[in-house]
Amino acid sequence: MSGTDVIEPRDIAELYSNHNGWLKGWLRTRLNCSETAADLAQDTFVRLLRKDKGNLVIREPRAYLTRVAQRLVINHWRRQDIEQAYLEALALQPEPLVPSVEEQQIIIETIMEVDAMLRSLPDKVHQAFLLSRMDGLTYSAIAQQLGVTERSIKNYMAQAMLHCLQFVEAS
Amino acid sequence: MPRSGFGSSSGPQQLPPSDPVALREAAEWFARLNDDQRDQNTELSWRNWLQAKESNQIAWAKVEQIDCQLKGLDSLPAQQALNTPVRDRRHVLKLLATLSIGLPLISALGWRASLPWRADYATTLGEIRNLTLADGSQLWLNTNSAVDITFDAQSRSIQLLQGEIAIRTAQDTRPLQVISQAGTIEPLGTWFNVRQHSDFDEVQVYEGRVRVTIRQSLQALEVPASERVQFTAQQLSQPQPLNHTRPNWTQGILVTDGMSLKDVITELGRYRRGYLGINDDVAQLRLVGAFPLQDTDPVLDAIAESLPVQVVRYGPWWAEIRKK
Repeated sequence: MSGTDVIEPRDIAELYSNHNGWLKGWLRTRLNCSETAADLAQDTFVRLLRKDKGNLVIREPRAYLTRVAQRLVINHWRRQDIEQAYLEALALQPEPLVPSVEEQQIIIETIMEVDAMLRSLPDKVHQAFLLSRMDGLTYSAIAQQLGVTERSIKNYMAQAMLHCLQFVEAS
Repeated sequence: MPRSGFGSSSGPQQLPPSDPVALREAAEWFARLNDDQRDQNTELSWRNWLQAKESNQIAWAKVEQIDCQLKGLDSLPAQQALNTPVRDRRHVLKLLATLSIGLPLISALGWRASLPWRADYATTLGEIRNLTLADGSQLWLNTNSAVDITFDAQSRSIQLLQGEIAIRTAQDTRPLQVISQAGTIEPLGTWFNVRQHSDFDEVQVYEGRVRVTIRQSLQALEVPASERVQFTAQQLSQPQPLNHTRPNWTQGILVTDGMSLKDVITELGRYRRGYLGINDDVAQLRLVGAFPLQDTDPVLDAIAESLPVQVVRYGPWWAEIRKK
């Protein structure tokens, strides 16, 4: 984070002291967990610090904070869903295949990153990409499964990879 | 996929920003090289492209990073997790807009392992929670309970997934229904309680009336205030008088006016982890009193002081009530 693209720390400090308590309350009523609420409130202000100075004219601070916090809550729920799905699937594995708790955390983290990266892709592109990279299917097999031409699959693959590259570039 | 050998050991975030043209070309090469129908020329032309510019090498290193990240998820559980359906966005936003007041009366025990994560609202063991729904109705969730809530323009629906809830309805033109394991409960402006026991459901009505329709025989019954019914999907009991005027648990209190000790212990067991048992020879002792549900261990000690019983404990998760 360079010095030029942050808003004045003084503004943030003021925003923080005026609204942090309120934001934590807002989050707590939705998450029913003060610890998570405090974490997400913190993250909300961290996001603000990273914002481009030129874009950050906050006329309605609470409406703005709510919007940022909403996104974080949705993300938080997504993580819960994914974590739960992973642990449930893991429970069905024969024991020698189960990774250590530490490895599980790394895998869940990676799933979250990949999920965020692929989430906004069109459905078929998303599916084609996973079928190729995860299941190792050939383009012709994927084309058959999705009912499109092999040529489309090749285009989907390029589209998906470009999307991932741009995602990594932007973050 | 052939490896470039360039820069693939460092993360994409450590690589310099890329020229958009190089990124586009890299993505296209990726798609071509992954095709098992590719010919030898494809690989040769790719090498030429790679060596032509440093920006191409950087872009390709990023492709390899992403591919490597994906390959890290080649286990079946990881793939299943990646296919977790995304929650309906409108539904999520509606949930976020639902005003929920009041902190949990009783703090969670920090033990969420058995919680149905997918429910709209859920409580952990020992937790009691009060919510104000979008229509202004009050909803209480007792310990270890879960509900899904669907309100739309025509109707209001609350599905009880497990445990026990109490509802005090607000004025609203849309009909409200509570769906439990064994039936459907439709209140007519009212205050009532629904509990799922292990093999039957129970409705207690405090104000107004509710209509209970059971799932299989579709037999229905209107239950007036101060009465309760028990039902399964096949059978509906006759209404019985209620011996209390409000669901005390919503206040975090257990009122035991004359309950058998066995029933009291069963109730307390709903709010704590591990095993809580009682010997048959003291099961029928009667107990009168009001006890906080917040922490059940002191309650057990208080019972041992007022009745000829003792609490035998082995560690924090095992307790049994025996004759003194």
